[in-house]
Amino acid sequence: MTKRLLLTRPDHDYATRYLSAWAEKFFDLAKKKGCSIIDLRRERANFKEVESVLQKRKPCFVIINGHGDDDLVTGYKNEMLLRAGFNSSLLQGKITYAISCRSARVLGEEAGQYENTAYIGYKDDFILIYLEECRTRPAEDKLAGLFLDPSNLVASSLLKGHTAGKSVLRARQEFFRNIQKLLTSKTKTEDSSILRYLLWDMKNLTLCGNGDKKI
Amino acid sequence: MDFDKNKNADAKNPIQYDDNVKDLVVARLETLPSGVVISIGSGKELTKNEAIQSVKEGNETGQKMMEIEMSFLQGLKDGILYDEAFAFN
Repeated sequence: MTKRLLLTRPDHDYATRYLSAWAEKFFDLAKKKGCSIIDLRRERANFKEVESVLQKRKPCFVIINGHGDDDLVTGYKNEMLLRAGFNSSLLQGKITYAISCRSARVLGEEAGQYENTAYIGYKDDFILIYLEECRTRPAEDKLAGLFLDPSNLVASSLLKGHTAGKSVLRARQEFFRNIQKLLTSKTKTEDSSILRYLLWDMKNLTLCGNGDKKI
Repeated sequence: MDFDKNKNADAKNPIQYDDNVKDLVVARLETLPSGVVISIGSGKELTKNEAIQSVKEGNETGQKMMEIEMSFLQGLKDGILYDEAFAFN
């Protein structure tokens, strides 16, 4: 049976444009691994479409790119997609990775309580540093890559068949490798100054629920 | 490893920092490369100068910048980079 991957990719501001552009980087891997991608891009990243796909097409893996808060994640123009105490049960039996602020605190904790469910997210603000001059071509921004490559590793590790727990560990290792790169003497002092934000994201990347689950 | 030194701080009600911390964080933000944008929280995007200004004003974003900085400095003091290196190697 074909595995389905649901992806939301709003792009109504610079941060979501970066997440959306960088999410395309694991499309090839997903296809290679036999996954069918349900790509809800731009205005399609809305509550109605997300709920419908989750109910009817039953993806095993959900990736939310967008903004968020303790109890929710949002889509295009910050429309609520999933909220604790409202529709988190739609994530039951799935692995979800939310690249958004703080949603692991309440929404992730709640979703992680469901049987055979894993929710990976950030328990505080997800910080992304990017270059102003690369705003119009985010996929080429190497500075942003220091943050988004480790983040993408969660998804690519899961696609390669690793468990949710192992995927989080590998992503944190990648964050740490980037931190180490910035600590070397070859790196300019001003570039090293961003490592505090990498450390912040690394420590806030969290797994809720079943760490042994695979897609 | 305990990352949560500020466990009691809520994301929306961060610890209030004094002026000494504010000055320290401003000085450290000055070391950021120019031309970078910091995306923090839901849709907040700050240039280096805007980040510095937010810390000086002590607004919600500035408080978060201070929390991140202090978490990093506290982590260094506690040897977090060594702990991580040990854990991952």
